[in-house]
Amino acid sequence: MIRQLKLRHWSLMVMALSLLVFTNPPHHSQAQDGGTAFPITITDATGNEVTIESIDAIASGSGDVTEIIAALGFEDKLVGIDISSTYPEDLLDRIPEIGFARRLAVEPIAAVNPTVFFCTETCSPASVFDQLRALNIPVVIIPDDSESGIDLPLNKITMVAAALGVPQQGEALRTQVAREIEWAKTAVANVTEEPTILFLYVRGRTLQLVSGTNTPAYDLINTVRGIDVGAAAGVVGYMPLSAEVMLNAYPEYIVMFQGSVDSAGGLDKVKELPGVGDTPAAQNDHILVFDDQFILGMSTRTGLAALALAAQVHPTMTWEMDMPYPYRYTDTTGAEVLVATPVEIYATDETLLGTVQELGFPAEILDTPVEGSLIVATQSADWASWREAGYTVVVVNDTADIAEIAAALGVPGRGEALIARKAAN
Amino acid sequence: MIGKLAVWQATTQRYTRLFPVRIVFLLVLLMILVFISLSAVSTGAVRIQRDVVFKVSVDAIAEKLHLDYDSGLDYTARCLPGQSCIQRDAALIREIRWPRVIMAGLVGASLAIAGTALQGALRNPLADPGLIGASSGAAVGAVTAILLGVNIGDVLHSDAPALARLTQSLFAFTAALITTFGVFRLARWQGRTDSTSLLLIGLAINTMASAFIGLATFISDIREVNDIVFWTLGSFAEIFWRDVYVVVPFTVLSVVILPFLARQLNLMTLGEAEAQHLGVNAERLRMICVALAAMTVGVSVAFAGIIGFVGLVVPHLIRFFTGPDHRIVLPASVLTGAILMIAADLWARTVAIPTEVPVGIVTALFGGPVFLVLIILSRRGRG
Amino acid sequence: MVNHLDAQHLHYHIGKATLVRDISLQVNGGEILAIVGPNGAGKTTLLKLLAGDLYPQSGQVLLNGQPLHHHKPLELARQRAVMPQQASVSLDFTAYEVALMGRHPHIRGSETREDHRIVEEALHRTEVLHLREQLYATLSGGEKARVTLARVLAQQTPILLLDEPTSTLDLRHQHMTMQIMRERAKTGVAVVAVLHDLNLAAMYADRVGMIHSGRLEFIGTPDEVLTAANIHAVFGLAVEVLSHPTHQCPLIVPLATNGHVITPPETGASAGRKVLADQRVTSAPHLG
Repeated sequence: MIRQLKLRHWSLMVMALSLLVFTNPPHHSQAQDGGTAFPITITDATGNEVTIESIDAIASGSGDVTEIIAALGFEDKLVGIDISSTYPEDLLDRIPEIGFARRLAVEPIAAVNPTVFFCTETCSPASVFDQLRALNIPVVIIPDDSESGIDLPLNKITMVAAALGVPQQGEALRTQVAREIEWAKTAVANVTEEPTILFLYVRGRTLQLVSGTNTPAYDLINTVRGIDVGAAAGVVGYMPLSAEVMLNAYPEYIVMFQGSVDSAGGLDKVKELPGVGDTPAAQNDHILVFDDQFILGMSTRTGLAALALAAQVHPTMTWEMDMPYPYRYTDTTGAEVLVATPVEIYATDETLLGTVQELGFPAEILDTPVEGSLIVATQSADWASWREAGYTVVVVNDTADIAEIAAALGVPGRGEALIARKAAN
Repeated sequence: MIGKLAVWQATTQRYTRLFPVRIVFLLVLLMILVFISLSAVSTGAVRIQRDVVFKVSVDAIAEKLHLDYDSGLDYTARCLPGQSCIQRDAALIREIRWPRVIMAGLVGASLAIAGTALQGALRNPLADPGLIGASSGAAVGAVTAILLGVNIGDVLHSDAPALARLTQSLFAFTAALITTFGVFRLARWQGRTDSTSLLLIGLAINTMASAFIGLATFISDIREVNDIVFWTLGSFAEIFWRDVYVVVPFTVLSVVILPFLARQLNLMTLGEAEAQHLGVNAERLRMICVALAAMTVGVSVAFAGIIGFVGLVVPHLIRFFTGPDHRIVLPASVLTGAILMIAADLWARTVAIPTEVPVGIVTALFGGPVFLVLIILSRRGRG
Repeated sequence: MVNHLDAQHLHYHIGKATLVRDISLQVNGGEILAIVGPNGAGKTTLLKLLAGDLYPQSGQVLLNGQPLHHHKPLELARQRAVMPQQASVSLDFTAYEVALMGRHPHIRGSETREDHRIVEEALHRTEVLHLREQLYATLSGGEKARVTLARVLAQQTPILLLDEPTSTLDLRHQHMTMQIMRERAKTGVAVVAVLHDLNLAAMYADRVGMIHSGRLEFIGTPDEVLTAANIHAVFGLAVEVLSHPTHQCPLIVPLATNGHVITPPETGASAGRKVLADQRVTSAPHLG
């Protein structure tokens, strides 16, 4: 139930947003396109002057930075990433791992022979930076402070873009992310009720923390006009979970990482944690589960994350924005399909499903679709009976390419980006 | 199996009582130490040819000693992006691996000799640098520095992470000395120090210290937890030459002074009163041993965190081969402690590339079972 | 005189329990002083005070005219050796290594051939040379005592303080031990031995000091001290003191067999105190 609820709103948000995002795609060209010439000298977040000779081999020690580097079009220059670099999804399959942002070691980073190493202020241990400098590997530290609030991703983007010599592309990406954040703020501007929300972090049986002020969760919850009951209960930073703390907070919604839920052993086990089962959040199945890096990575998708959270915690929210849906699309059968706020996407075969997912949509193989779903079918599939049954069906050629599928889903811009990424590899 | 080992042990012990055999024994340990050091420097996530490792090392030594030697390596070769190059490999060997290996050796030697001296001086085979409060005291100091967010850098208006670490080390060292002194002060009664109550008080202090550290991990944020974990599990991942220079004098002090006390430590096994009848100033001997142990362990923990079991197991391991004579046990534990720690660190940093396992986990993982076997053997040996 | 131990008005207590009350005695080179008394009389405490292990709350011990604590530990170790009641070794040293430890006060650098000769001789004299390679911890109680004795002898000191050296030994080795003491005394060594066996004291000691409740009740030659009245007063045991058939010394035979009542000792043993006062000042006559 929770999972479905999540998916439904998710797809709504992503569908809606992708259009907005990709109608104005960032430049995917590099330094020749108005970029700065190397070597570049910048002052990083720790106040160090860093001189970068070349960005031909980039190592990133943190998932949020990896996301920005990829979004700026330098994905193919990455030679090493840390295990929190989960977006774009397939990076970890292709690029060597260099450790984990919070437990870095010098040799695995040096082993990929980077010309520059990126990490954030929260990467640790900090002495690894000194060791890398001793190896003449420039280290760029990206800000990761709590003072910037929800604008933190923007600062990160500016710093990364400057270090990569593409300030203009950085500006474009920054504008885009800023607009998404703004959009989320606008969406919740008129809500009358502020839901109470708590962020719960779990790592197995040993570590269960609730968050308060000075955390990304606090900034995100405030952005969607929720009440961070952790902060209200006086938590600064993170504090161990106890039944008292949980019941004192008494949240209507609990936000969790997918990784946390997995490490706890599933949602049922989460409800058995001290005090959790007695909260309205658990009783109404309002434990909201998101991908770790997506929801609190404070990177290029933070606006989307805010919207996704807003959609969950404000069920009666009215959208005060220029929605792209419904749109009309003439498919390969000649039918003009009216695609209106689809809640779920289903594909008729694995290949098609793969492409739909690569385009960023949560989708499933066609089985028993819920009402109001969008079905993407190939010509050879039994699309006619589904259409007869009253579902919205978009039919594409059996040999449909990315461009066609992207167009069918109303996101041609995202299709172009995916084609370019595939060509680069 | 165990019976055979015991017979074999009796034989080795008979021979290692002979002076020439002892010299050979130490020389063999020294050779193993050199071998393991070179292996450790040649191994890591970055693959470097063995001959390059040796040439770079020799060049570095030649440069320091102003010798006219040139291995023929071209250090000016351009470093191309994404490829390894001599320049970077040389920096890695000189600035990262050698200090790390040497620090592991120093800390291993320090812990082992401190353990040997304490077991002798306190007449307790379970005495361990950790038990007199030095390790946990150091950790409490470091954790306090982390929690208070103290940083010399703030005074010096510098942001270097090295200064934060240095502050923690300073706190750790000071706290190690204070704790050990406190444990001793409490154990001292009517002008004498009772070994049993010393160990019990040490145990109580350790319990309080681990409670404090546990509390600290709970009230601190995720960033600080990481730092605290470093202190409680130990690591050589963050060692630079400057750290090595700080530790060297302390280790050398112990390694030089303690062997002179070897015979007196032997007498201590008769009991404090008997040792005194034979001319040993037991109280002073114990003060010297404990002070040296506290200093070396304090400074080791300050830079490498708490690394358990080495101080406890190494003396037992050596005595298993050589018998209890401190004249051989002390120098042999120095070498063996260094060997084992370098090996443990090598394993810790290569077993799970691209991440590192805290070395304290490795020493406990191997030290625990070894200790058990030694205990069982020594029980069988007595019949 | 090089070896002269002079205890002056020693007093020692722990909390409210007084273990030694105002004991004064002197030991000179060439004599054996046996300390006897019932359990808990303060014999061992007295020996510890003489050895310098304990510091008296009042009074002092003079070694060759100098207070004990003015001597450095090593200097003291060359002057007096102490044999404990029980000696344990916490690590696996061999019997030979333990005996060799007795040479410590004399060794500068490492052991010489002479040191080894002395140790071997001592082990031979105490009849444990054949056990030299055995681990001390694996020896029997009596063997341990003899190895410890060898260690004490190897120390070659002009003063020997022995705490019940014969308690774990068989009859032969009890007498062997006492004979060794006589030999040493003959060479001018001063020996103080806490003994339980009154007959051993009678046979070998030049003087006997009898302690009761922390007081030195009697001191003098065996003939003077080991009387039936004194023994009854201190030990609370009826004895008959005969004359030894072969030696010129008393032979104590307990009467506390079946049918005889063991009476509690007279508290304070006031009867003997006069004797004590008379005899304390007399210097000890030599036996043979």
